[in-house]
Amino acid sequence: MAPSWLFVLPLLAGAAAIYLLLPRPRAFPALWGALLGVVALGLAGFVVVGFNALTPESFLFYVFSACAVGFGAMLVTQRNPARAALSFALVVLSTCGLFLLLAAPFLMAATIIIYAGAIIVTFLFVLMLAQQEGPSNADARSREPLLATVVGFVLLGALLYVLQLQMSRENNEEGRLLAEMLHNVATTRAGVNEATLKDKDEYRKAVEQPLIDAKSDTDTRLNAKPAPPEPTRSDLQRRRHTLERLDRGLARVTDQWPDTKVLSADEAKAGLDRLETALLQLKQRHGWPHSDSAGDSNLSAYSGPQPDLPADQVRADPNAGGRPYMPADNPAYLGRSLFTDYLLPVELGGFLLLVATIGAIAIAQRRATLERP
Amino acid sequence: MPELPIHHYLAVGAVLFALGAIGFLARRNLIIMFLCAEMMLQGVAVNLVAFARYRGNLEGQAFTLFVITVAACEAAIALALILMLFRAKQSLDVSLWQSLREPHQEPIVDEEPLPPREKEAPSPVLTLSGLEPEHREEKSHV
Repeated sequence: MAPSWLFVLPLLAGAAAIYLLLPRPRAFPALWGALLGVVALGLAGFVVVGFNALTPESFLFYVFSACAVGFGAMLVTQRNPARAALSFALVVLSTCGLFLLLAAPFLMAATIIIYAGAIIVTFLFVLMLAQQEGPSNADARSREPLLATVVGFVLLGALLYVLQLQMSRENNEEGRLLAEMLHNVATTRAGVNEATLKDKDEYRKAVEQPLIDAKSDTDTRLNAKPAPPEPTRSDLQRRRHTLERLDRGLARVTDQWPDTKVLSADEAKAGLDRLETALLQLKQRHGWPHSDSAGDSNLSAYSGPQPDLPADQVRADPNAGGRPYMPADNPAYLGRSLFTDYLLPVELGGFLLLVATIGAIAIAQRRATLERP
Repeated sequence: MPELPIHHYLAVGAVLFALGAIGFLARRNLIIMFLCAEMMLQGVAVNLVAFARYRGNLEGQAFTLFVITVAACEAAIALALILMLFRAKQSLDVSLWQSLREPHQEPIVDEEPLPPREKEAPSPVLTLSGLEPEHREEKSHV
């Protein structure tokens, strides 16, 4: 899948909205900017949701991220600083929703308490101390609104383009095939559990079936004359190359299977275990997430499962695509991690807070009152 | 259940970061500039937590905790500085400090006049006790 340039449309609409809404003495009507902003969010939603089925997780994700982006835009364009502070609080709350979706309940609570609780209240206090009457230069003017908007959105466009390149690379044939083969391993294992002893070749075939299917399909298409909507010849050749690479990776594992023609249940299980590990390794090597080479993590087991821990030893959640259990263990793991692997950084953080407190007191002191007799 | 690819979260983080950068560059109110800087940190935090989730370990979350710590320190120092700057110029406008610019740079001159102040509605006044309040004719909408 080649990266599409569709994502530029919401970016352009968003840039225009921010440019129109930035405060200036003779402001454009706020309605145009707001409309453009809504159009940008809608376009972004159309571009993104167009490719995905709506699940509860993705629905919540879209709601929270739309809130975060919308209130972020309000924070940037708001004339009244008090309202800007409140928009920032809403940005923080939406981000906390995203944290919850990402299985980080402790961070969500900490962010709400520290940002929405402490920092926003302090900001509002300072706003009250430094209140200005009427429109001021600070609130009603912007520095170089056009240049700032262009800089920000060029940065954003570059980031999103790279993300999309990466994403289209990962949605490839190989990841899909590997997932299918892993699924087949799981179903074959269920058959072994019922202690039906079968032929070794049948096991292999069951696991390798998607690979065989894809290969024959690619071959027929390579030999046939391509119709216009079909993938091009070079695409097919690349696919063929991928399949061959997968086949070689798999052959290395299946060669180690026991030589007997008929397998005992234990042998079959052991073989399937080895197959699964090998498939996971292949997946990690070619698809996402890219795992580091084994054993280079300096963190102890207190910081959660190691990246190189064999997949069957991680306490995995079968409902979440085999990802490790995160929400339930999160605060416990985080606490143990902070006080074992990150003990020195925690102490440094505490020291930094102390220094910041002393510094803030020293800076905010009224010098004039000290010199009074 | 099809899980959401990590790129979606990274994209949201990128958008928050870019919006914060625009606000920091374009706005002139010191307080809003610092709020925008905090929003950039939020974008980074979303990225880190997403990576933590998809790698299945806690490095990203621990790092986010330190980001929050540094943000709290930054807020304390920044607010103290803002108060000091406000006392010196009686304004939160950052362009009043453009005497700190590079020697070859032109100063920014605000040419367009500010819009006139909007008239605020007067605060409501109660009649003193003991006096009879003004009677207004009641209108019925029925």
